[in-house]
Amino acid sequence: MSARGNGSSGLRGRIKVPFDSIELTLGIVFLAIILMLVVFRSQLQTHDPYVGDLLDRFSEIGVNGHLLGTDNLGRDVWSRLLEGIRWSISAAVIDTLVAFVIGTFVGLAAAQSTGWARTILNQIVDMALAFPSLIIAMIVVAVVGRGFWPLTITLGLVTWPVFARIVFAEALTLLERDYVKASKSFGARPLLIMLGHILPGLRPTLAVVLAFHFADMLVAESALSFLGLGAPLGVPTWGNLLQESRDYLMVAPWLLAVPSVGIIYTVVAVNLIGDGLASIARRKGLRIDI
Amino acid sequence: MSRGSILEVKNLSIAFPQSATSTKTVVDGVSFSIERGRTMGLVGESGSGKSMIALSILGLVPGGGIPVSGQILLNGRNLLEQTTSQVRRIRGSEVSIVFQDPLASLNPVRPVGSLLVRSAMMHQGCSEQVARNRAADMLSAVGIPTATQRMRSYPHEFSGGQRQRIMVALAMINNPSLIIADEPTTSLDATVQIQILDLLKSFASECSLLLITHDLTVTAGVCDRVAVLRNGKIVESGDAYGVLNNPKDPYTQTLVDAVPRFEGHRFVEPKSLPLQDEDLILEVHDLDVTYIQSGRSFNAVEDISISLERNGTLGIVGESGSGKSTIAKALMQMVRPSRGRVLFDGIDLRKANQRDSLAARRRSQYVFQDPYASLDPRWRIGRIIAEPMRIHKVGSRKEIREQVARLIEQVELPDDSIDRYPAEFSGGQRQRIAIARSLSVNPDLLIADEPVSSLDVTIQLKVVRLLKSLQKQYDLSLIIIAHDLPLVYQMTDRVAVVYLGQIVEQGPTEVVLRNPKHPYTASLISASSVESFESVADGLRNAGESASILDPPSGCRFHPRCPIATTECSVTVPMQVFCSDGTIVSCHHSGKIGRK
Amino acid sequence: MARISSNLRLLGNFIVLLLGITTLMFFALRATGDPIIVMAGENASAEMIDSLRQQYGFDQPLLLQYVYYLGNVLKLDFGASLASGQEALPYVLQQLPATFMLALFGMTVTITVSVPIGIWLGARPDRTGPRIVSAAVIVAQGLPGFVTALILIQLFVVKLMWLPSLGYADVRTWILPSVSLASFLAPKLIRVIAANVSESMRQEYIRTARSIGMSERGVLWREAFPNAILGTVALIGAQFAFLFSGAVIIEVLFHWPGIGLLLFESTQSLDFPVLQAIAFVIAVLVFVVNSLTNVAFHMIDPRVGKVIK
Repeated sequence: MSARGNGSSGLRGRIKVPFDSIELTLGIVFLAIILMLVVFRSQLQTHDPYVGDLLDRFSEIGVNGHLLGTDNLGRDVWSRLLEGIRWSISAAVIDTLVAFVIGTFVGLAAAQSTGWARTILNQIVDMALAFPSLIIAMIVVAVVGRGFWPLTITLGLVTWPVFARIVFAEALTLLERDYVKASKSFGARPLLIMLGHILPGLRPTLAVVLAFHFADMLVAESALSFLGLGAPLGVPTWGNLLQESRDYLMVAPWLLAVPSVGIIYTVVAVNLIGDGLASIARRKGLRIDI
Repeated sequence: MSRGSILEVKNLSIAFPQSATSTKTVVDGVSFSIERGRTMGLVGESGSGKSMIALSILGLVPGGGIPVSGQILLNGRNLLEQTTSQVRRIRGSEVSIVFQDPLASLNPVRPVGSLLVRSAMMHQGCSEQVARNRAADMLSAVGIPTATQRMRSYPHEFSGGQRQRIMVALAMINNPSLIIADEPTTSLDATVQIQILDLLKSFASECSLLLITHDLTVTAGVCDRVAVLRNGKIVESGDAYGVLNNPKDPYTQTLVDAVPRFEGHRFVEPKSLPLQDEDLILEVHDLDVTYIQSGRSFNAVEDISISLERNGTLGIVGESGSGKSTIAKALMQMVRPSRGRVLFDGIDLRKANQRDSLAARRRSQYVFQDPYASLDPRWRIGRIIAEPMRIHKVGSRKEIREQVARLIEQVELPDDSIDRYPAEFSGGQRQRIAIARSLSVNPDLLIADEPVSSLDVTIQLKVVRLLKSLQKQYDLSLIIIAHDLPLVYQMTDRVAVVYLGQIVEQGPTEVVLRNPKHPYTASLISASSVESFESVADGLRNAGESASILDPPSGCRFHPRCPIATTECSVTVPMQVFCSDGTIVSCHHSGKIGRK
Repeated sequence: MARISSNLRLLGNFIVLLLGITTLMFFALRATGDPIIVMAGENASAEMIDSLRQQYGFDQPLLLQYVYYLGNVLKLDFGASLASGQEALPYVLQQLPATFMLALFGMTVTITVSVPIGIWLGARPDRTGPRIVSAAVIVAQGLPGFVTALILIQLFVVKLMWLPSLGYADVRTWILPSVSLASFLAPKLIRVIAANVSESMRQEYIRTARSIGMSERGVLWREAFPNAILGTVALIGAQFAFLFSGAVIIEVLFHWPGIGLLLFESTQSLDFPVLQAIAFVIAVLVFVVNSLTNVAFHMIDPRVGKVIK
């Protein structure tokens, strides 16, 4: 791997970046739409998401002024969807950040350390990576109880090794670069090198990992909620909406379709951003293995 | 078609699409021809289009580049008009190629024999068994011992020179009428280079050879005819001797002038023998550096003793893997010696306290070989140059800014460089930036590790001149690490020759390079093919490659490759001999090297 | 030498893994305060709680409890299931074959689908066909496995009534779970294979093969494919965790009587002995799978495991 690519790293180049990649541009546009929905949800909601009209149960899409129909209690699915997206997205943001902060710190520490300390850190990361994190999350949430904070903190705590592994590997190759060796030969201290050379060098990789991890966390949250181990009962997140739909597959297939489309759309948007960032990084000569 | 021409290229132009509407022409109306059994050199710097011409003959131009006009006639047929399957039949049988980097060019997970067998089967239509025998014969012919067994080995199990031999075997297996060699020796050590060139030359008598190179010395040694390319156009062509000795075109003239030679200009005034109470900036005594690799420890360098006078210039030469960079790293406190003393201006660096050691880091600076790797691509030039000053807290913000501006001017970079990023600069400019950075803290000692070897020849000369003038300006002591003897000859007043981690010969440059006493020094000199030494040059051609530092030979480490070695050499480690002309040699037979 | 030390390293990994998982389980149990209350349920009497406390040694100091606990783990004694009363470890092991079958079917479908598509995409990534399929794969990757499973159930069981949805009876009940699991794994594998193939196709040795007149088909299969498959084997090993996470949800959805379903049920009833046994069994599986891929990797890659001279 080399940093020889003729990457445009000038200020002009940076502003132009989104348009260097169709995937990235598309992903940003898709995600922007979702964020708009979240921000303007109270304006866009046509009904109270928690209050249903029992006379208006299982209205199909578009019927009785319900954009996306109603559920078994006559609640408006469109309004519920908007309510849930905010919850799902903020949960995914927080657990991604928790994993990011811990993982980056551990990864850098492992790269900087030597001998036993490094071996132990690496063993812990190896172990945590090999073990299915969803299963630990299931058990922990089962013990601690459902809810926003139990779920987000748990997911963050069980998935940080993803960041640690990549940061460690990438930091090691950066530490071998001549410009880092030059800095050491001038007498720079490790912290200065980490902050000045290594962290900025990790930026493209971290951006890609952040995007993909965010997508994974969206899916993990919905899967756990679907199993009854995520969002609190009643909050209309994707997972909970899907869970509720299971009993009415025969009568109200839109209850399955709406959250499915929602989650697929969002995850694809975020994956597109990740892909776009990865292909830009590749064009600059970096290779990112996720 | 002219009589006897194997290859005739007529008015060839190649263009790459740059955007939807515009194209970039990389080869522009090039014409040349090669006669049967002759060797033609295509010379040019990077970006001149020479490799594109080679690839277009095989129909392998990458990334959407297309020959837009012209003809490529091979044995009278225009290759540009053949169908894909016809071209495929010609590739590897009538025309074949040897690429620059044999490690990258061989599939790491396939046995080396597989492609040879495949090629023979495809083009000769023979059975697999016949093809196997043919491949084994070919491998022995290029000098791979026990070829039948080695066919099953993988590329990483061969040395660099052997890999390139395998590539030559692959090119030759179907007796092509033309071989193209695209920088075939650039990634190899000097002494291995001659072996590969000899090998190619020996085959060239049976077919024609098109040699693509940036190296005029190589061209002079091998080619009958030469064409000089610049920006996709041939600026001069003709008989090799004539063109290289009497260049008519000004660009060819600069290329020829840029070739470092032993004769001609030397930047160093000859010095008298060192006085008794010399003023030394650097003294190294009995230095060992130990590395650990896969559980085994070995000495990367051993018993190194060198010294450098204040304002003097020392060259350290040797092949890749000889340990010359390790010595430099030990001097820079980048690796810790396991034995010996390094005295920097009287301070023992191994025992120095933190303050002294930091001061030594400021007072000695290092210039890396690859200017693409030694500058952080995310930093602006101003910040890069100021980094050592910031670390050593030299001067205020304003002073730092002024110093950076002054340095940018001194290394002859554009004034607006300060706010730009490394990616916007060429290799030569980047090396100037690296030099400016190392000078920012007014060092006393500068160590330059192959400072120009990654640059084009015309750029090399400019950087060398710059280094030399800065040395005067800044009262620098200079250590130059290089494999390029002419460069060392031009730049230094003392030289140390390193082989497998040990210094085999050192002394005044003028003496060592003019009258080498160690056969290894002599062989390096003849490998630069400017001067030749009887008995050594021929011996070395068949002497294989350097042994591994992990498993150094007994006695004199050079004895397995030495043409004048005796039994004594394989048993007894030679003592250092201090000669009256100021050189120190470690050889049982020093003085037996005669000039041709 | 290198072989032995790499085995030792693997064993070290295994010990750290087991120690980590069991420790994690131990503290997870105590995260909510008094695990006995959780275990006994809200309505348990004081005597019952006391007797449970003694039975599990919860009246001892925490560190001592941890030592006891580790001792029991070493004896493979996880206690009896609170739900069924059976010994936890045998209870869990008895569910293992169903999960193994699901993983096997799922992997078979995944590999059969992914290898040809991945190679096709990687060989000519710039053509229109592969580009469209690549885009479809990106969308498929965004599809959570359980959503696919739900959609498949809706389509084939509810709407078309072609297949039974639940249980582990005849071959027809195996189709949907395997396909669902594959839909979870295949997009990633396809993309990795495609990326590896196109990466290999950009290497200089491909140019060498072309320069001797090898056909494009030969270049792809003889030169690029062996390289691409190496990276893929490494990934399949690393994806085990992913596979298992997917299997849990799919087992729940299809009432597949494997470890995943048991895990789900045990989280509902907070059946700690079983949860501990499951975590232990999965840790062992992780070790086995990693060792196997490691061995496979050493067997097929000529560059590793040999001393370079």
